[in-house]
Amino acid sequence: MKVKLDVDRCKGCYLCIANCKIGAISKDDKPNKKGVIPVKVDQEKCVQCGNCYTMCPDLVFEIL
Amino acid sequence: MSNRSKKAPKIMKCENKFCAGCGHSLFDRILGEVLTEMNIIGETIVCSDIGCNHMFQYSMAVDVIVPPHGKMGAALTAQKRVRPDKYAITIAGDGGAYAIGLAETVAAATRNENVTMFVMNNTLYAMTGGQAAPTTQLGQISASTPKGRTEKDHGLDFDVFNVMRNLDIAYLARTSVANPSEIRKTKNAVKKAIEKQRDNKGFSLVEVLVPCPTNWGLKPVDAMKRIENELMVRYEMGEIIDK
Ligand SMILES: Cc1ncc(C[n+]2csc(CCOP(=O)(O)OP(=O)(O)O)c2C)c(N)n1
Ligand code: SF4
Repeated sequence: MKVKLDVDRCKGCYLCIANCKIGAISKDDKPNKKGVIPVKVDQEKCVQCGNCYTMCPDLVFEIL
Repeated sequence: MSNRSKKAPKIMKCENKFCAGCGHSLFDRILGEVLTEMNIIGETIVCSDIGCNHMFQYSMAVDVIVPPHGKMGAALTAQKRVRPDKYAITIAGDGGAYAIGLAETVAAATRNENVTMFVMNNTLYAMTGGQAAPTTQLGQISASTPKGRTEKDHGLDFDVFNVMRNLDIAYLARTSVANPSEIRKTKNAVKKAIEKQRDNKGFSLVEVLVPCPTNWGLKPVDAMKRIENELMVRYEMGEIIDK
């Protein structure tokens, strides 16, 4: 695994999707505990650039 | 763990209370990273202004005092003179620092007090419901300028840096949180501002352009685009004073 997510923290701003230059992040199917549709990461595509960590206001991401 | 690993510092103790995509929460993490990397969390007291910006208190494990709204310039001065062994830092709003507290902000700078101000410019009063501030742009719709700010009815917007840049202070910079590159610049400016205080160089102020998607009526991604396309064009960016 390249990036670990705490999806229940996600508030659905989707700044990560807008800033992931290789398009490895997308919306998930089911809502999280907040009732928000969180994001998911394609671990294969991820290059660990860290843009998601940098742009996430809610500390959802940890780059491993 | 790779050399690319990134993890939020422990000072960010729990989830924050900000709206989705709020710029304050991005700034708080940046400050948390800098305080952690400089190893000065225990030597720092943050003067908290009143405004949405004050909500850092709920999610950051750092000592805080809460002076009256806007009076950060005066409160930081007092704090630094009474406790020179502690870093005197504020996270303030543009309403606090540039409207109700403009006199205190400029007076502290005029005296070149050895304190650090981080001013979150979201071009309005967020916490009270999005009323216009001195920073509200011409044409901008806010709760108190429903048809947009006009020069005739509300006057021109005010860039405090026009005054600040002529003062004998240690550090003055403007950055944003609009994209990863700007966030890196903000982190660098935050660190340098605190280092000026460490080295007894005097007053430092970093203005950070932050989005308030809720009161701007924009989706978080579009709010960041407004910063890039409108505010970063309107304002002079980068380091303006670095002594
Ligand atoms: C002395 C005083 N006057 C007015 C208020 C009401 N008030 C609370 S927050 C605020 C302004 C918030 O705007 P800003 O400083 O820009 O911070 P933001 O909410 O945008 O982060 C005001 C006027 C107050 N709390 N105290
Ligand atoms: S109202 Fe604006 S400034 Fe306040 S928490 Fe929400 S997005 Fe942030």
